[in-house]
Amino acid sequence: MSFDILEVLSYTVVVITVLTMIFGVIAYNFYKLREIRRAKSSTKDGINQEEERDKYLYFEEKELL
Amino acid sequence: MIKLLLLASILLILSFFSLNQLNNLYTYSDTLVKTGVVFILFFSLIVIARYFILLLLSMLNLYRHVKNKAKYKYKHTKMVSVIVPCYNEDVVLKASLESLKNQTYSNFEIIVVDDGSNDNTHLIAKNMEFSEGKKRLIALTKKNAGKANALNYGIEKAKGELILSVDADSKLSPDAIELMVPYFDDPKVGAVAGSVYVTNKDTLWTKLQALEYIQGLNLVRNGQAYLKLVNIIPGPIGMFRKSAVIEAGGYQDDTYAEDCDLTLHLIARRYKIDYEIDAVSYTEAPEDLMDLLKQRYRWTRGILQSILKHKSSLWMWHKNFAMSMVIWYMLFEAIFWPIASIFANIFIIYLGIDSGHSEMLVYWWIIFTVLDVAASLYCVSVTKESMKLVLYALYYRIFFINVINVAKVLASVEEFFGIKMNWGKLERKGKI
Repeated sequence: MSFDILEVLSYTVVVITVLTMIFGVIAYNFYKLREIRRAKSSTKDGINQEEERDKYLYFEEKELL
Repeated sequence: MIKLLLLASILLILSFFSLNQLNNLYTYSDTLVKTGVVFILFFSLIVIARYFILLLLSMLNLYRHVKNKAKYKYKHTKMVSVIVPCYNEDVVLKASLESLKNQTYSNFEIIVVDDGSNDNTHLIAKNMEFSEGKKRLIALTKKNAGKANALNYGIEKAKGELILSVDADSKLSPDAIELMVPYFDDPKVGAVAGSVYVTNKDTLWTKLQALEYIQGLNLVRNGQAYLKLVNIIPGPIGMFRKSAVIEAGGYQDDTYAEDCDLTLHLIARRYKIDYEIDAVSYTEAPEDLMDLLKQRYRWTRGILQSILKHKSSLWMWHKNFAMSMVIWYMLFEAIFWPIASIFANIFIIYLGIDSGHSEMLVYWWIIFTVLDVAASLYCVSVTKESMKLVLYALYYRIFFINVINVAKVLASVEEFFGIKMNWGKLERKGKI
């Protein structure tokens, strides 16, 4: 039985590339879900530091310089 | 020299090889396939041209750097204010401040600005306060209002004519300040970037980031420095002329990439932005994928926000050519590059399978991997990093870059739709 090494390699490249891109999409969505959950839980605890910071970032007048 | 010639020859052979392989594909009659092949050919040419141009500029800058070294031998006395903005950095702050205290330069002060941390950050800084001759360390604290605000607060208190901005999760090489100050003899220089190296090379992710950092430093930043147009002064080490920062309106808090935004403001005011390769900051890189995505999400959206702020410069090439060029380059790297990479991957897979010439996929992968290996060899050879890092170039293109590009594209889509975001503070491991 013979097989073409180039063909095997090429399909290996295909599988890795496709899987990596799918992995990227899944990981990104997983990250977003985790961030949403964290934001919800910290709001519940009344210690949403990130939102506090955002408020200052966008609405507080620049006091310096 | 022989190494570089060898490298140039490899790249040249590869570019011809790539063109030849892609040219074979052009024999298909389907219009869609032909269009795709033209795109792939165009994309490959851009990739190869990008490597060549950056490599050439980088080598020219290295040559200039070695030539100028002797010129900077005399003693400099400009006062430098080192500003360290901190938010919950108690794990890493001590090591960072120790590295600052041990700088070889004699005329500087360290201002630690605690941005309303809820850990022991301020206490640690307070315990390290000192005053010895011209050197001193002062610890300040204020209500939490973001990094840009903390930096501006530090600048307001600074006595120095030069400002060195340092992240609290980074350690500086002992001669960093001494090496950066001489650039400011030229009144047109508004800022100088330093080199950033990953210190915690313990996981696959951090090793791949270490490789990415040295490629970014030695190809991209070094190349840009030849034109005195470095487009991002990194958070872990960047020195600014205080008057230029004030002229530019200080750090502004309407983007998540305040360092990039300030650099663009300086370029818009025709300041030169240079780079000192030997001024090194060792920083803690995200160790797992989730933290890495968090960091890249903020960088991608922050850079896009900065580009949008300066979008009018895209068409102002007749007024400020340098600024226009920088914005076009950033747009290319932030949007075109990741989208084109993903599209090119998908299309070459489709074409290879559909045409029965699956070997094309291997050539495609080999071309870019060898380009990465060659670039990594060059970068490692001009830095103090281990040659072992070059091996990671094999995973770099097929794995790391694919994941990062997908995340960049998705983050860009969110930016396009204006989805709300927050800073995304990384958890420090204390490995600096």
